[in-house]
Amino acid sequence: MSNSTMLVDPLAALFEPPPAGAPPLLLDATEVEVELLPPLARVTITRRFTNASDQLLEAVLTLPPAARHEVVHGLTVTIDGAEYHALARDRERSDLADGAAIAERRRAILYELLADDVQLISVSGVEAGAQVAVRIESIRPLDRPDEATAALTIALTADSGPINRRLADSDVLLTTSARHPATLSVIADGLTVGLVVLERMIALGRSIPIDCALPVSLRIAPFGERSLDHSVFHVEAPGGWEASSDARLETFRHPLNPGGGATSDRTDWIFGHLGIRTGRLRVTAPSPLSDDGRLRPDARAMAAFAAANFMESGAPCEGDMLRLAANILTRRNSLVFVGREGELPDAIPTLRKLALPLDVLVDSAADVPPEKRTDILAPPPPKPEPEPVAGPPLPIHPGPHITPGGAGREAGARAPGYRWLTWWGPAALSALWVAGAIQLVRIPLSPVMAAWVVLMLLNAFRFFPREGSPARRRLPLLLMLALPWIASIVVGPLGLADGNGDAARQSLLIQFQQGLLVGGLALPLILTPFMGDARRFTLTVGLLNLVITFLTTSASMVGPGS
Amino acid sequence: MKFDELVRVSGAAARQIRYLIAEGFVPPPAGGRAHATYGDDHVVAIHRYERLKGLGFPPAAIKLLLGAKAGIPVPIVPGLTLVIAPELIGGGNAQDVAAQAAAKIEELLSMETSSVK
Repeated sequence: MSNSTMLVDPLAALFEPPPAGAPPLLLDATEVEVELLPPLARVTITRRFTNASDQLLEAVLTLPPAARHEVVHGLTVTIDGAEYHALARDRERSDLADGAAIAERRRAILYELLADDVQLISVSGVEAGAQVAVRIESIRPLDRPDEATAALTIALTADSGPINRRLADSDVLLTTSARHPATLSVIADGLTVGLVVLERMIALGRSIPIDCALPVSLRIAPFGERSLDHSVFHVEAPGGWEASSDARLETFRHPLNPGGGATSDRTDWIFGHLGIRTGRLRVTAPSPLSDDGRLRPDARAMAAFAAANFMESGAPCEGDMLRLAANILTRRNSLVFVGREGELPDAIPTLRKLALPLDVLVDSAADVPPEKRTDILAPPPPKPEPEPVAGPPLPIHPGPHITPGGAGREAGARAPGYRWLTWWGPAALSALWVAGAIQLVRIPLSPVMAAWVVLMLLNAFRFFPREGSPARRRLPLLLMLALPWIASIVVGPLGLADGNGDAARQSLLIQFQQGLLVGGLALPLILTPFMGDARRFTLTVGLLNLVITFLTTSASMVGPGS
Repeated sequence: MKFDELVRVSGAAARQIRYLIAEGFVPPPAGGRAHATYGDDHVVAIHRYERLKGLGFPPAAIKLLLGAKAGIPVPIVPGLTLVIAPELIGGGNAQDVAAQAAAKIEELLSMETSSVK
């Protein structure tokens, strides 16, 4: 038998000993800190690990998707005592900056959302032996299983199977059966808090040990005058805030709450609201644009929540700008840090994955006796919430405000729907009109122009800012658009054809009419940046106005026989 | 080529390539870590991994298969399993090799048929 026909056991490869691969990094400790500010809760999770290898590492930690309506607004990485704060930047730019920094042997930290909103943190430039702490700050609504209690469930790990389906191998969520110490501390005022797994109340302000492989499930109840629907901290003063899930309890007076009893001349406030299953969350907080680093952590968290669900503000500002300033993680913005040159050894870091503890509920639910299962699994997962009727964009689940092209829209703007109506229809009619005007095709021009005007009016109506939008107060500015053609009518017609006019005066007036035409073009462009949610409306009305200005100035410049 | 060019040429994400290098699926760069350069072998290794991944092999199985001197077994039709040398996958001369293999298989099967007769 020749070599070419020699039989080979096709399964031989599968019976060979597995090659030694780099084991995942393991967590040393997890610390969960919760501050209850009903109807919201600040959650800070710190995960610690050590680079026990002798290599410079890029540690990659994949986390389960954030909770519904959770707003992640901070990432601080501490490496051997040195703190690095990641800041929100455009996602694409963050990726490029991170990649370039790694190639240039700089320290780089990136926190981004992957497919299905899976969270990934990459810390590149972890020296051998270095101790690392990854601290994530977020704020989220409390669940309300009933009128009298609130609940909060914090997942520390997850079933990797469903999460990893759409992820690249470098990004998958790894789990390990190894356990590590974990602690929980809760700060609350006027509330009693129970840990479901322990089935007892917990001491507030103290650190207690918890199981790193189980979700932290808290049950919260008020005592005394405390409400689960309202928290406030000097809302009348700069830097103060207020959060409420009951509009009747809101005290700060602003345009959307004219009956509020707390009045102030502060202008740094922003207001956000969010529709949830049990009603609406309303948050007034200091603007992140005015944050000079002296805001309290709770105020900064409230600012992030209000910015993520932005609706109204004391001073004109844009939602996108607020979200960046509030350092919010979204599908469009990642949190990134790039270190200085020469900080690291001259070596490319080796990528190593960090593993989370194996999800006990998934892995061993079958091993738990039935009578114990209810203890561990309680409370039941919250019922799916209906989509908010007309809520502003969500930071972690930003589906409603992300268009397929990736461009977002401002809070309060109507969603553009039919592209043919917005773009193709007017463009085709314009082309048809121009072709008719220069006699490329023989068509009556007036109906085409009329159809174009109707389409533009429809678009203007569609882009009209909705009720409650701050842009509505700026709409009177658009009256300025009429000035050019009004001036054109007042000054003209020039009557150039009669030949009796003063030539110098006629030339001057023609230049004036031309100036009015330029003004008709420039005015909407100048106004647009200041119109907030009414920018599309301004451009549409401006285009219509330009046509009117063109007709009036043309009539004023062109006489019979020209 | 530099790393960013490798990313562009291979079509893989930068972090995925760093993962493949760290896990040994792709050789480390030439020139040491300080002056890393990459060549066609890196591109081929990345494509090989992606191809095997596309065939449904998980990373651990790919690691086993790439390390197996006997080659990678791939069922073709019921009763016929092809054992492919790892270096042939992602190499770019697939059509030539496939044509030779098809001819050889045909020859082998017809030999079997004639011997049965």
